[in-house]
Amino acid sequence: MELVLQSIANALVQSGFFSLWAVGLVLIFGVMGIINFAHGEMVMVGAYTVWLLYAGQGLPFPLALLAAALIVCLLGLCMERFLFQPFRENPLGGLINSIGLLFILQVLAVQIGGLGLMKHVPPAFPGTLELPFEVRIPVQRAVALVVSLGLLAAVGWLLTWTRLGWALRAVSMDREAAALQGISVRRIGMFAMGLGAALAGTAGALMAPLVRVEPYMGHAVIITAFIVAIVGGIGSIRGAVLAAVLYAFFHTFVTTYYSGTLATMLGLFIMLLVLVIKPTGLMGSRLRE
Amino acid sequence: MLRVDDVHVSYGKVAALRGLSLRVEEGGFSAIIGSNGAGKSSALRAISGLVPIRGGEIHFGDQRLDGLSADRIVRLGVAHVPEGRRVFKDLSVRENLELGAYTRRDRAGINTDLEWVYQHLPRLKERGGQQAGTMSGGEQQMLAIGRALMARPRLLLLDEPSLGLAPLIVQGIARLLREIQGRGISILLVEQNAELALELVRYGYVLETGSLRMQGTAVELMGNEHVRKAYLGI
Ligand SMILES: Nc1ncnc2c1ncn2[C@@H]1O[C@H](COP(=O)(O)OP(=O)(O)OP(=O)(O)O)[C@@H](O)[C@H]1O
Ligand SMILES: [Mg+2]
Repeated sequence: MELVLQSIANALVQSGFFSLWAVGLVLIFGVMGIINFAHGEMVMVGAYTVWLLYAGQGLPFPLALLAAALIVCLLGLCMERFLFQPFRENPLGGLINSIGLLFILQVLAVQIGGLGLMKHVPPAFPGTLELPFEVRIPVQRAVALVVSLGLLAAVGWLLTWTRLGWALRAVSMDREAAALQGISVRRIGMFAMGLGAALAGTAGALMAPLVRVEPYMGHAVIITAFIVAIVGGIGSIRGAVLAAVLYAFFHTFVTTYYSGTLATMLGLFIMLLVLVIKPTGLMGSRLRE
Repeated sequence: MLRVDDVHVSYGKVAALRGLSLRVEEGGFSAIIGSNGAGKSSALRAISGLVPIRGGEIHFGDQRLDGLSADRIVRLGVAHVPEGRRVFKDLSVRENLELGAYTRRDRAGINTDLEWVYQHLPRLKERGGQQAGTMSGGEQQMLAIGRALMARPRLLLLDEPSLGLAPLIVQGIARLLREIQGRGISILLVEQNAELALELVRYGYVLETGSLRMQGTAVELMGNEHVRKAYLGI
């Protein structure tokens, strides 16, 4: 019983991370039609920023987190401007560029922090919340969950209630029709890329004290984000969040009771199953033309 | 107010327009008629900046349009109701209309125009909260036109608004277009339904495989032997 409750608590924290990864990926794909293969490396850059600035330079954690969000946001804007925009007519070109960048960022991370060395990021919020039934959540994890939820709520609010959000959804539904309403598709693309990147960077920063910070940590991120985005119905933000929560629970429980490798393998299998049975995913109603 | 001079458009090697010239006067109502693939949509897409032109010039008032991005052209007062309506299917009717006013900041004016649209298209008011994609084809066409009006344009480009709609609904749209022109908005209408177009407009252009075959007042065209045979089926 305790283990079940503990797993639920862990899964909730994972839901926040999975959502942040997938929502960024889906935003970028929806608005620009580009699959950002370097998304996992954006998360990695966020984690490295915290390792360098907080663990290394002693900057307060919240400031390091902000820096990670800003640096990765800037990285995203540069990607959009120099890697994606010139290849607008050719989505495959953008995708290949993002794969190239993925390797460059990994090599950079190895250059900066070395390979295999332990990159210890001490928790910024020590202590543990003792909940009933012996469920324990480290404060660092609770903070990560609260920040993730706050960010997701803010993105939801933006998309539902603001003109900018409507414009973003309009561009992801029909770029031409959006341009005919006077929406600058270029500017919205920049915005989506900056926002998606900032979410990835923040996720990386929040994860840094909780996971192993290493050059290849992006792998697990991109695999999970793909599974979640496809199961949720690629292009649907709400679908992505729903799938993120479901998959986080699935993944946490299988990992706790069996193994993490099995969890990921089953996850990929579920993704394939969804692709075969309902290619539009849980919430997606249509495929993009 | 709109001057299109010797405009060429091609997609790869396919030439869609080979030297189109036409005018729309201030407050005027003109039409381009032509059959499938004649280049009608390409003409409107060139004016609103969705496709680059290979030659020629497009002027709107004293502004040169060609070379500007589509969103800039909207800001200058040209609204385009595209072929196939292209409403934002997952957004509500109200959100679609608000997006039509995306370039504007005058909340009071936007509300006035929203009232006008709702008054003339009461269906949209009833359906305000409904997802646009769940409405009928006719309702979606009304929404596409309403959305374009929300930009408070000086020139309205319409691409086959009658396509696939029942005669009764087409008559409703015809009435609406007259009302719009009555507000002083100039209209350039593209139609395969030549009968409808010539009934509405003062001046028409006949487009065949990317070139103008002839032009004239609606009365002249309706009396023309070729037009009667090829487009009116008489
Ligand atoms: N995106 C495109 N790529 C390649 N060729 C195109 C494209 N769009 C149009 N064409 C070609 O350009 C020509 C003119 O097309 P256009 O859509 O302007 O015709 P239209 O008069 O609007 O036809 P319809 O009545 O069927 O809408 C056609 O031969 C068409 O096949
Ligand atoms: Mg057409």
